[in-house]
Amino acid sequence: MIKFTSNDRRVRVVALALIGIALCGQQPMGETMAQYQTACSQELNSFHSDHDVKHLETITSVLAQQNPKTIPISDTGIRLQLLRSWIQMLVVIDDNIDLAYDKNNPDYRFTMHVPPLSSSQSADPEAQQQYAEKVEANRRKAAKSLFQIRIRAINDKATWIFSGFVIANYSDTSQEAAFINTVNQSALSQERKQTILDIQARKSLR
Amino acid sequence: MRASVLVGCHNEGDRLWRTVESILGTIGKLDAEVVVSDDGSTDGSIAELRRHFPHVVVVSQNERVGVAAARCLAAGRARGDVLVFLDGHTRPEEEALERLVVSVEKTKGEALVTPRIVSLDETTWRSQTQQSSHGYALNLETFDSWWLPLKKMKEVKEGGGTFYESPGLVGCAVAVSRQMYDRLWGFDQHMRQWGNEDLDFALKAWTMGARVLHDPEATVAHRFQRKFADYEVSPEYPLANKIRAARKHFTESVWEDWLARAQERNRRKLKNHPEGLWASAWGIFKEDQKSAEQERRHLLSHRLHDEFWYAKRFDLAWPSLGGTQLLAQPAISKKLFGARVSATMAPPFTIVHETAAVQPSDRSRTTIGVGEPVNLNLSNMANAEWSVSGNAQLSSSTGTTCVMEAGDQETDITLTATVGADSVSVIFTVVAPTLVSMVAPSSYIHCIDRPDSGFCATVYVAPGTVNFRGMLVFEEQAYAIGTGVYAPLNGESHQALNPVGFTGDINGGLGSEVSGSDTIYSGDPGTDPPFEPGILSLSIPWDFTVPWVGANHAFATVGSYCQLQSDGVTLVAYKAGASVSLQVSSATMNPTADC
Repeated sequence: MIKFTSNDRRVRVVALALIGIALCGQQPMGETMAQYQTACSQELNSFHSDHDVKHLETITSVLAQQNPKTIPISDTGIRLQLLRSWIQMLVVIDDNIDLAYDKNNPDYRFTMHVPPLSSSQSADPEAQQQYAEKVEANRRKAAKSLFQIRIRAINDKATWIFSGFVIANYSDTSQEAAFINTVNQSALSQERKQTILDIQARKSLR
Repeated sequence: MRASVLVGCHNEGDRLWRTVESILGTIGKLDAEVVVSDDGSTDGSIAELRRHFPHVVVVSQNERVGVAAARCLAAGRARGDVLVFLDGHTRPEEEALERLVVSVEKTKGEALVTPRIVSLDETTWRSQTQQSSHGYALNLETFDSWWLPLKKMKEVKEGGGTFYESPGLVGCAVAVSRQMYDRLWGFDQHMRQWGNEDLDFALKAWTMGARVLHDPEATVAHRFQRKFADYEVSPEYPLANKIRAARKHFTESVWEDWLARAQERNRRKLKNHPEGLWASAWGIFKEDQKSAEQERRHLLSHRLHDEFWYAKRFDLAWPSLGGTQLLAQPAISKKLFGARVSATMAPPFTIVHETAAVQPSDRSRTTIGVGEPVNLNLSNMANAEWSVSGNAQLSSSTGTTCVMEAGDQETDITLTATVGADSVSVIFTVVAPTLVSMVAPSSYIHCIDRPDSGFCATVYVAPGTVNFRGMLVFEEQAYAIGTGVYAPLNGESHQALNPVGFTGDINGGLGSEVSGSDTIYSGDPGTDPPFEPGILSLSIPWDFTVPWVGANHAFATVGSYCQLQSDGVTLVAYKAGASVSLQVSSATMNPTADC
């Protein structure tokens, strides 16, 4: 049971986030902003290591728990930190997503089933070697294809939830300089930056 | 012809011919016919009726459908200007039939007229007049109904007669002009078995500008029973009929409110319904929802009064335009609708829901695939509390935006958004995959003068009305059966990748496109010519899984074969509806089987 022992609103926000994480069935990652940031960083590192999309799904779930709260304008630090966390993950998505994914592209084209070798070939070591390479190449392409499918799904989900974060916490005026600068100076793709700025300006939710 | 007396029946035994005898005994000089409509009786009562009264017209449904359908069948056969519906266990008192017909005529056919109902002793076939029942009340929230005494009914004078307004009616005895019956589309023949078809008819009358008037001077005796002794009435049917009536009559927000409450009230599991009574009733409703939607469009576009008007006229607490009443189930209401629980005042926002998948093009659809994500926000962009009942998950419980992902069960999901005291809900129907189908290009896989055959296929999972991009599919392990030339391949395992996803594209009626193609290929069994005709066949179970849930569900078994036909030269390869045909002598094509 988490108890609030501080009147510091920042602590309350993070603690609420952690409760949200716990309610989502994930392990609480601590009660401080530092722990929360560390956990997100660890998930990102894990993703860089194994390229498993589940790490991005975890981060999206954690950040989604922040959506409930309209963070007081005075807590600019909290808002900025969360904004950076979102951007950090969106950059990773931008770096890994292939918006031109096409299942018929030779880099992705795979078959659900590689037929076994013919009887006459099955005794040939060279044919066996080629067959094994073919199966492995097919498996890699299938994994690559599935990765794109899953990261596209995460991209859709994260973008949508992030738009809610922006709407709830930032006005549509040019006075949100910190927000605009953070977005512009980030490593996000140019297209993504424009999408986010359009959301902030209430031109679009998508 | 002035009138038709229409008798509906199902397994009434001797009561049926005695009812007809009573009708003929009281019909007097009334220019009328008697039509008996049999709802699939199996007890010999129709034969007995014919023995007693061979001249009486009998129309039959071969199997039991329902009391409403039987009445519609009789009405279709009737020739009278006024239709008098009676149950097959009633005894009209002296002059009652003519009185009912005259009463309808006094209202110029603009009202349905009901008689005083007394109890019938089926042994003596005598009326027990010490207790009389008059009007019939209806609670729109529950579709509960009960008798109304005369003193609680509004008296009206019309055409020289004295009547009393009744909110509902009991279908055992009611008279209506042919013209009005047709205008109301009659009883709802799609209401199954028994229950609430009469209340539906009354509600139609009132909202379409007619009335239900009670004439206490006409008396019909009716055999009441504490339980159904001669035929079964399964509890899911009356509930399904309630759902149908609610859907037809209520505007969207009232319907959603009603639905959530009704679902909560009927969660209980019964001996014969371990899945819950609601699930069974909802399934029955869904089977024929199309016809309900058709009548709903007619009613809502032609009616003179809505359900709010009806509630106000008959002093019902629900629904109410001005109110926030939630009288029957406060606990439920609080849970489902927050502090303000009224379907009657439109909240200042609506839920904007859009499927994440861009295909099918209708992204605001409420029928979604298992695992399918839906983006949510409110029309006023407010920060909302989100909740969901059913097999689904939400990205967060509050927020300006939210993502709902369907689970892996075919079920309905009720999504609710609450802002302050206002709540709105949307119901989604989740469908699972049903079928795998494949499309083959014109090319094939083959080596000249060998018995191998095959092709590459694009794979789809139906139905195409939803998008399955939120789930994965895979083939389970299977082993080939080989005969003839393919005997050497007997027992070969079919090793497939798992799992694979979807491209997000939909192909018309075929469904969601799988991200990988499939290779159907016999391989070369290595046999020397001449080749003996034979077949290499596989039966492959297909499973789906929704990643965030994790369980695997078998949903289809896909047949596949490669065959050398009896002529010894024709090769056919087939899988999931796709096939190629070629000759042993056909030119070599794609011999490495690379799709």
